[in-house]
Parts: sequence; C-alpha cells; structure tokens
Amino acid sequence: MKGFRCGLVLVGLLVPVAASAAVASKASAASAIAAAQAEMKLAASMQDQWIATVAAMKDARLALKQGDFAAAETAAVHAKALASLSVEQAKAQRALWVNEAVH
Amino acid sequence: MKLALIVLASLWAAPLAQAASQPDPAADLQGFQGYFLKRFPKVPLAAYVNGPYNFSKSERDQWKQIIEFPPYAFAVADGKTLFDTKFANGKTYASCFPNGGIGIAQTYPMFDAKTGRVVPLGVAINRCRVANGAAKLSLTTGKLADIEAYMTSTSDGKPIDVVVPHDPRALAAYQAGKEYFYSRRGQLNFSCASCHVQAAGMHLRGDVLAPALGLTASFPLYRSSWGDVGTLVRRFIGCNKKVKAEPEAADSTAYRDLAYFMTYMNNGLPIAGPGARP
Repeated sequence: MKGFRCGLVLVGLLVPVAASAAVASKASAASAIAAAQAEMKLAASMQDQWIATVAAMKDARLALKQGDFAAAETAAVHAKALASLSVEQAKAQRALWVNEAVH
Repeated sequence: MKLALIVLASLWAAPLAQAASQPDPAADLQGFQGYFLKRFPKVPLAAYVNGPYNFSKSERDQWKQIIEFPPYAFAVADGKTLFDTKFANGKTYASCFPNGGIGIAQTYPMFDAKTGRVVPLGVAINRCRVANGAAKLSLTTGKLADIEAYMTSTSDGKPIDVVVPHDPRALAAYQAGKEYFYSRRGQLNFSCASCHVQAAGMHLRGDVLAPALGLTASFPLYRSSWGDVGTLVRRFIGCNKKVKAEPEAADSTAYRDLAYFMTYMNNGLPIAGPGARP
C-alpha cells in the first residue's frame, strides 16, 4: 500500500514534466490517446475504471478535436497513468480482498 | 524456531486460501451473521432490516414519523396498477411468475440454470416484458422500481430465502459477488465492506452507515436524497460513484452477482421493503 501511494505521488509529479518535454503533434496526441484507451480497456475488464480516468480521456479527446495537441497528449498521458494505477489496484485486490472477508 | 514460524504461517494462510478458492455459502452465512451479532449484541437479528435506524435514535425517531405516511406508498400503488395492466397480448406480469408473482420477492435473486446467470427481480420483470412483446424498463428507478416495490410489498415479513444450488456456475457467481463485495476499488480505494462491514453503524458525515446485514431487505426503497423509489442496482451505482469508480452497467453480471451474494447473506431475515432511508 505504501508503494502504491508513493507511485501515485511520483506519477503526479512526473506527468506534467513528461508531457511538456516533447513537442506534441496530432500523431503523438492520437498515439497517447490510443495507449490510454488500451490501458482503460484493461481497467474496465477488471471492473475498476476510475471516474477521473474517464474524465481525463474526455479532456484528451476534446482537446484533440479542438486542435490543441499538447493538451490532448497531456490529458491522455494522465488518463493512462490513472488507468495503470487502477489496474495495479485491481491486480492487488485479487489477493488482498480475502483479508477483508468476514468468516 | 524457523519451523514453528513456518507452521504458524501455514495455519494463518490456510483459511485465507480456502476463502478464496472454495465457495461455501452456508458457512459464509453463519460467519457473516455471527460477525454482526457479536459486534452489536444489542441488535436482534431481525432488526437489521431497519439498517441505520438501529444506531441513531434521532434518525430512528424521524423515520418513525416518516413512515406514518410512507413516501413509497405511491410507488406501491402505481406498481400494482402496472402489475395488473395487461400487455398487448392480453397477459399480465402474473403469467411470468410462480404464484402469480405474489409473495415471491424473498426468493430473488435466483440462479437460472438455463442461462447460467443470476436473475434479480428487476431482471425477471424485464424478461417478462420482453416475453410479452414489451420493451425493457430502466433497472434503477421509475416504472420497474414501482413494480418491484409492489411485488416486494406482497412479501413483507417473509424470510429471505435465496438459494445457491450445487451448480458450479451458481457457486462461481456467488463467489464473484463475494469478491466484488470485499474488493477495494475506485480512486478512494474503498470496498463495499469498507463502509458496510468495517464502518457499519458509524457516521459518514451526517449519515449512519447501514450494516451489510439486512441491507438488501428493504429494497427497493425511497431515499430522501433521491426523492423517489430506487432499486438495489441504483444504490450499487451510487456507491461506486462515491468511491470514484465508474459504475458497472445496471444489467451487468457484476451487479447481479453482487446482489446474489449480499442477499444470500441476509437469508432468514424478513423482507421489509419497500423501505425509507435518508
């Protein structure tokens, strides 16, 4: 759980840096959205999609539509990071849920 | 010393591994109800159907006043009208259920061996509609919730009697529901059990968290915060949103299985629906 929290903080700090490090294009934004979509699909299949992930993806798509590729890429990277966290959570819960069960 | 630690670790791990791998609904039921009875010795088993009102005198007093003129009464009346209204083919809902649909709500959700899926009452109502040429209704509120409210009212006081047959698919569905109930999800990292087992009877801001024991017995129910009657699925969707998780589809296998597990855990408690909650 401590590692999970540290990861969350780290991702929060690194996402804006990583996104602004490269110049965004329509192709790179679309690629980031596709990568986020794939991770979100995995999260959904594990019954653990976060509302914030969906909101970030919505922002990414809207920005892409408006031609703001940098914003689209940033939001997509954010969505992917959130989706990855929820996947990590779901994977961990496959073993951990038993600890909460009442017997 | 090392050997003793290994033995101790295996003794500790064995029940956990068993809980995850071999569904034993009857043992779960005993353990689940026993947990609450031990934790809240002053609350009798049957009283759990009154949820949060066992833990807050002020809320209980308000509730008593509210049910003098039950806010769900209109839903029950509308539900009866809908229930008795004929489909285009001349049949009614009564044709789809045993005993004409009267006094049977306590047996839902039930496992359908034909489809291999769990069928909550709302889904059974929609199945009936489709079989009679009508369109499906929303599983969360509105007409379907009204019909469910009426049907549930005819089971008032009957002990919940959900069956998990010795069918591997039924046991798998039960186990999936159990896993969903205890698994943390959403950005807030909460499980159903976080609120309705671990924090049961405690306050979440101004509200008292209802124990999972008895929780399904009063659905569908009128919630003051909703302003109308809603089904158990509506509550599931609301809970998922509260922990910042995207809800499943109302008709999803996940919610069907969750309802199956939760309602089975209430076996023996009297139906007390429709209910009223803050």
